[in-house]
Amino acid sequence: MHLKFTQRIVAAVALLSLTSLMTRTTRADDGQLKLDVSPVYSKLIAAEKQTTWVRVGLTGFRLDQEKQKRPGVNLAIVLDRSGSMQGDKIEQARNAAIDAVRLLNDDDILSIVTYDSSVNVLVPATKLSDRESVIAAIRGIEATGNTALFAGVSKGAAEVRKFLDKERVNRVILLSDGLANVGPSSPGELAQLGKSLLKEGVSVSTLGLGLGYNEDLMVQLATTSGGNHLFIEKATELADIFRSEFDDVLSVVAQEIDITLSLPEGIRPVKVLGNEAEISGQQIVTRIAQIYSEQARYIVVEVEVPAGSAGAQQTLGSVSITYNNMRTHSQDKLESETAITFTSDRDEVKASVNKQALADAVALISSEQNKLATAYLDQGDLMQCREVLQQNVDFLKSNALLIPGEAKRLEGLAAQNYLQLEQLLDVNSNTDIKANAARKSFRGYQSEVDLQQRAKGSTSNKVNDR
Amino acid sequence: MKLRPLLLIATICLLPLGALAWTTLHEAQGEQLVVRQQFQELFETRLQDIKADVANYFDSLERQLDPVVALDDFDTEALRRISRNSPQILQLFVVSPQGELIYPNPAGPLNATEQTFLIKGAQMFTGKDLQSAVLRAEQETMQNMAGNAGSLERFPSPIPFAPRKNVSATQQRERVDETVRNVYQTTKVDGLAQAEGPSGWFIWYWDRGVNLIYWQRRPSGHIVGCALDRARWISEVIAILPTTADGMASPSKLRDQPLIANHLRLLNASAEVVYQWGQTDEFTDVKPLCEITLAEPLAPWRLQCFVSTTQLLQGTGAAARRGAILGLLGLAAIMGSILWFFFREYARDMREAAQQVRFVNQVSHELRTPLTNISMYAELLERDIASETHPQAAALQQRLNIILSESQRLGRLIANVLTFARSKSKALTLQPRLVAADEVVQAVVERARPTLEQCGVHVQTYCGASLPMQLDSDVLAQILENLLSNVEKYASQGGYVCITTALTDEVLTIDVEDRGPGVEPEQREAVFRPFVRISSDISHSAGTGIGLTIARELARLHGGDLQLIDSAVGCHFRATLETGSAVEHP
Repeated sequence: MHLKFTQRIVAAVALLSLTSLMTRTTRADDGQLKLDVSPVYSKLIAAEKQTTWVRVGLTGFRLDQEKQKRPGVNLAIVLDRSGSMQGDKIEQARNAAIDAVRLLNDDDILSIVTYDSSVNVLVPATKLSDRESVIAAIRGIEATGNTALFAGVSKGAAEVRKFLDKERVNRVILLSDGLANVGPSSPGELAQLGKSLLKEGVSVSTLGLGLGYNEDLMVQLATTSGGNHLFIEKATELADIFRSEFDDVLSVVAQEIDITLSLPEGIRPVKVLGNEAEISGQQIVTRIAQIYSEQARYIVVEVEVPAGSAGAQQTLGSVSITYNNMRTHSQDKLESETAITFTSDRDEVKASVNKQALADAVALISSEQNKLATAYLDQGDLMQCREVLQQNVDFLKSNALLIPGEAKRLEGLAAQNYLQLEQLLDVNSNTDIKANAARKSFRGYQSEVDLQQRAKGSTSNKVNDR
Repeated sequence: MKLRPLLLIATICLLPLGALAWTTLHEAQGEQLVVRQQFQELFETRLQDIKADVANYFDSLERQLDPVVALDDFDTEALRRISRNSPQILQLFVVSPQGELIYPNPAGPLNATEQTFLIKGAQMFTGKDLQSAVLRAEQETMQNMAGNAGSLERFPSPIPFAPRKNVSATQQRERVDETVRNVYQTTKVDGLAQAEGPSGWFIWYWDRGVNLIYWQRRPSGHIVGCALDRARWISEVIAILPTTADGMASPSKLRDQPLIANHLRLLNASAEVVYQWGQTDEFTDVKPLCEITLAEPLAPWRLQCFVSTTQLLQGTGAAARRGAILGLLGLAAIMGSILWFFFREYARDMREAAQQVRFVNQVSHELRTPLTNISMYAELLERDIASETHPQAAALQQRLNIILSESQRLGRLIANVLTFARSKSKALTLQPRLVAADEVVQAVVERARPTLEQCGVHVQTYCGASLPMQLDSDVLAQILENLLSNVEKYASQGGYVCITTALTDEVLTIDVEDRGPGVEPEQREAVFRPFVRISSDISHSAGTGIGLTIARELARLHGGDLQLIDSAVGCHFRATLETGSAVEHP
């Protein structure tokens, strides 16, 4: 792989001095989430109004499946059985659903909803005591008709709601290869539904199969509700990708993580990357649906810092977090805060970098760039689209060089962008089938990076295979 | 001859059959209408049930929201938390008794949701369209930034170097904040001011349809309201509606009914399908069987029910029709076999009758030869007796006369039978030759005279047709013989018969008048029908009953007629025969 680099070589060999981080982490003992709030740069240049990034990171504790009982699952699998699913797709979907039934415990709750132009609750929410009849029902699913996606999700959510339980992982898995064409069908409406479901602790994971589905709609639904979105290019990949989604479901360690970031007067919030957030004045509130075993989940907040005098310390914000601990079944709280100091030495600024935080910020920014590429693609401006992708590759590559500890991950992201770029090389129109595939890959990338998904779709799997 | 009775019987059979068919079809149609109406009512009840379910949902939603909006402390943070945590609520709002929007406060810092709400709700709160103003503001800032901000967005500065300023995002937000502030500051909020009562629903259109607001008037006069998350309540309404599987087998009123493919739809205000269940694929662009609107607050939404008409009527009207058709076929078969049976019987009778007629003809024909011989030898004998003087000559002569007259009568009878048979088979022909009518008449009268006088009938003739003319003398003789024989049989008690002949304009007229009992005027035509006897008197039963019929037929064959005309006493028969040119062609 020969990539064109426009990287800037940073001369200064910065020492990793973690001690310089003005960060306090509370209660990092096992069985709790680990909270880490750190600015990307703990030192900022003095006498200049500037923006910087603060990373709020959470790490899930390890869920030892051997020893510990994993949290119960309350799952609705919503299967598209419209005409386009005929053949291999519905076959694979059936197998995936049957696998799911086999992986669940007797105590777990499962419902199966199928939809075409109307909806059928194939298996109403019930404890999995009679597996075989559920499997038999799944085997009977045939593909035909139109797609009432909204209604399918609504019914799936209603089934989950029957046994809605904070102690369980409440989730809807939607598998579709098509567009929604009966009932509400705009990405906005699905996003609204997703937001509403997140409020009560139900996440929707959307698995887009093939090239026919509406990725915006599926991504919106998954992102706003805190579920995964996975792009499955070929039906043969379905089982593995479904399985990785399922592994996620079975390894939730914390749910309904409410993060409140309070900024002191003078610090202006600009943007939150990595999760849907609500900025109200000096307060930023966001809810992360769940954290999986050993998952590193973070958001990066872009803030505007007023000019300060050298040597002065500036608090950037304090973070308080509440979440449902799925091991202890208690609501736990975490608190932390972070600050920076101003310096007039630019080298000091460079040296003060938190590489982990930087890498995370780079990843999230690359997702924003990827969104920009999507926008250009939608406008039909493939030149610009490719240019943005190329820059994104360069951007990720150069940062990978700077952060050796995270090089592999950033290289991986760069490779994904490069793959997308390759896909679009000889494409002239956004109606091209390759453009369609690329767009799905874009959306998959964005959702993987933004939500730090552990389950991976087709494109990232391809990168791993290389 | 054979076609007429056949047609008659066929008509008799087909007429009731047709009538029956029409009635049953009509009835089946009526039944279909009734069935349709019944199903319409049935499905309408079903829709009403669903309507009630939806109404129940909104009632329970109301009960759920009542405590949520029962707020008297309007702490921004607390209000935000409610909006954030209630799945059904998109945004709370509080309007003061003075008509000011306290929350979300247009002047204060707004989060994205609040701002969107204020922009979209401006029309409702202030009557002003803020959306286009905001769009303008956004476009302006975008244009201002186009030079540098665009490039900033596109070129991510590698992180180690100066964190960049996100100019466009902050500036744009400021512009929008300002626009929102301006609109709300200059106008009082009165959208909900007219709302009456302590609480209620308010419908408000934005984006792609109906948005619902539930509000409550607090004791302090504040109105606390919440805009509902539309996707959410649509989703919940869908969740309470039946699915395709249980839509068919639900324990509804339809359970006992035969399964009829039906399809129900929930339509929004713009007539788009929001949700549908039942057999969705069978109904495209057909008219719904019934349709109702939902209750408040979702009054602009509709429920429609589609039913396959063919299937609906299959079990009923169609069955009736099928039954009717089967019945008709059965009936037609029975009628047909009866028809066939009758026709066969009739044909056999006809055949037998024809055989009998043939037999009678043959026999009559065979009788002629011996009769001619009898007559001839009787005449010879008469001459022998006349030439010889025998003591008993007078007595012998008398007996011989009887033999002669009786053989004449037999000859006449045979002639009649043969003529009748020939006339029935249309085999009668004329053989005219030049004769004087009077001679023929005289001959006939002389032959009949003895018999008549024996019965006490005085015979008088007035001859006025002595010129020779073209005439079938046999026909004339037969007509007259029959008329005279008639007198002998029925009018002998009158004791008188007068025969008058006249020739005018080539038409020979023969009048035969008697002084017998006569015939009632209304029966005058009846005497000419075959086998008809006017009198039921047994004593008058002699004869074949075809004499007058034959006489009339012969007269008509000869271009004339035979009629019974008015007379003071007895009967007056008038026969007319055309002579001359009229008889030139046979």
